[in-house]
Amino acid sequence: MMPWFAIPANPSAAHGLGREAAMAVDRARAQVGGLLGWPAAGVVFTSGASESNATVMSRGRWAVTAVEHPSVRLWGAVTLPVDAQGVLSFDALDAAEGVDGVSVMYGNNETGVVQPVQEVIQRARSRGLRVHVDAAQCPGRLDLAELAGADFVTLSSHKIGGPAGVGALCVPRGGDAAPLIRGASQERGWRAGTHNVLGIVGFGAAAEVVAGEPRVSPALRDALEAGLVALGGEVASEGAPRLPQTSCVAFAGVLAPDLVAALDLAGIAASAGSACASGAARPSAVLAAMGFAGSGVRFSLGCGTTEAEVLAVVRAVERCLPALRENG
Amino acid sequence: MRIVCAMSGGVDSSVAAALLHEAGHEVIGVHMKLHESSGSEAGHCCGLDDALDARRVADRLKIPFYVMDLQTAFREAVMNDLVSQYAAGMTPNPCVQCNGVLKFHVLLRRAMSLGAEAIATGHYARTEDGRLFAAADKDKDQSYFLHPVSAEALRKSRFPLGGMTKPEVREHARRFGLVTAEKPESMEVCFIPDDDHARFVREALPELDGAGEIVDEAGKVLGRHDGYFRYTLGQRRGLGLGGGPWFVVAIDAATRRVVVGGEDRLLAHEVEVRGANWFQPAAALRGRELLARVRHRGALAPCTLTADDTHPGHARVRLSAPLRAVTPGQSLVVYDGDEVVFGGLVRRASSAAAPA
Repeated sequence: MMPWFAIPANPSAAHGLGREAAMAVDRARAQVGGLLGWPAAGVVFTSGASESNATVMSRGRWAVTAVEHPSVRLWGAVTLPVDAQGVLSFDALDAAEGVDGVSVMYGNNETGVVQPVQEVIQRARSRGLRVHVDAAQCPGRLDLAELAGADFVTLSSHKIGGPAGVGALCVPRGGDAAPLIRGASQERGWRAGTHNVLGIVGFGAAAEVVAGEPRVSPALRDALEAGLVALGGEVASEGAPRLPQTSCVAFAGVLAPDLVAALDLAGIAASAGSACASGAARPSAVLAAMGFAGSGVRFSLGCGTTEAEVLAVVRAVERCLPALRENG
Repeated sequence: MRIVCAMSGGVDSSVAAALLHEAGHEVIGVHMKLHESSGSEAGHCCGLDDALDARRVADRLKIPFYVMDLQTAFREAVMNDLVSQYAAGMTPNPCVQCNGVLKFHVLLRRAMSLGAEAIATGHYARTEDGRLFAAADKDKDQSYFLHPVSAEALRKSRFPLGGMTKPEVREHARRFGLVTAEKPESMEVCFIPDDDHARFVREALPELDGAGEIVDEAGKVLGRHDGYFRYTLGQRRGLGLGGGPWFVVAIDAATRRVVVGGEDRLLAHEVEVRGANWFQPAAALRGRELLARVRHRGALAPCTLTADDTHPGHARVRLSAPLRAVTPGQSLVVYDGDEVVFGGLVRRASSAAAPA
């Protein structure tokens, strides 16, 4: 990324710096496509996963699962229910009427639950439905070969360690571009506007790093959960296949935003529900859709997280709980 | 000491946080998200600009800052209460209810759950050892609005501005370089920014909207009104009656009647109070000459105070000099000098002193 901090070049320009920028974006496109093993030509750079989702879903009628990210859920004409573990129901998928496509999240951002995405793709395609998969959470953590056959895949830069504010919509078979932002013909007509060169180059570099590393192991996540369960925690989607880095834990009588604040004061970053612009945590629609009654705090492990850090988190939660329970 | 400071995004609470931080306390800023702002589209965040100002101040002070979503509690305890009081023919003061329930109960508990020993607010009032006193600046004094706060909660409360004037507070804000230093004062109830309480009540409870009679005290019909919740005790304008001058002297929700009379009928000698909060034992105050106030910055009238032993939480206040338009739903606060010794909500007031 470093050279591009200083070079304000437009990749669409004809001069030398413009050509350099265009080639940098082109390399990033190959790096991001490489994550999926898909051709670079099908990668459309966007401002992030929400824009990628909206680009696909603002056209047509979609069935979406009840645990999608808000930027997907809001476009759903039909909502597919999930079970108590947060896994979607094939019966509801097969019964969905009056839709052109299905959108399903591969790994959930709140609970980490993994949907049986390859089977969804096959069932949907057998009915002639298009399939969109939000896989923002998944590179480096899940087998992306499971996405074979999808029509659209959403990826996000900062979820894999790249800069925030850039994402991609992967369109392996092309199709009619339906740009949200119109103007010139950047991104093969899928998105007008000068490229965020700095962000895109960073996204590409992060993609290459993630693609070259072994997949994250769930061992530390399991150690964290064992420690938190011993303190009385209840893990959402505990019995389902999950992302190896995400854990959503509730403690009876404790409000998740208060535990998040108490942990923040102890120097630990966790989250609750989905944040709104003012910073207030809202009750989680994802947990509500699974009938999970607790107020869940989300712990996310990074590739650099150590066992000592996991133990420190468990000890910090243990220190915070008495005051939280007493005043809950 | 770890202290949670309620930060509205205004200058007062900003300076309260800054002063405590300067004094060496571990201050945690909390913005209470109480309602959706009327100016924003449905589903958007409330008071975003105020929350952002509070966040900017916290960032300036380098203190932790959190937004707490208290909308459900606020709707139940304050907004619904406002509507039901208007429906009962009273004129509520939602800020009093918000202090008693939201700030000094719900927020206090959540502050304790974060390991804080106290909460702080930008109120102009003073407190010491569970006792409540008027602020040094008598023009800004807000002790009147704090009467439902328990002594236990006051022991865990700090009012850093209690000894200051507003110009001094603004001077501190400039000294600290706070973005809120020149922010104008808000005078309206926070969730009714256009100050049109009748519109708010009508939208919340449309069945209240409807005509009724305006009658004199003998029951003679003098005119019509278009919703009794639009009237308040002592109101003279907007009655549209001939003769007079007429004043609203009572609102009867059961019959939807607004009762009018001459101004002399507004003078109250005895007031029945509910929701009584005794800062000192009733027995210790019995028979003593104290001072009653029935509106913010209103006149102080000599009074005596008696607990109503048959109705817990009720009390009788006898005014030796009558007060005008003592309005059901408003607060009656009793002072002993600067100290608040009693507070409650007016149930009803009578013009003739009952026999002792």
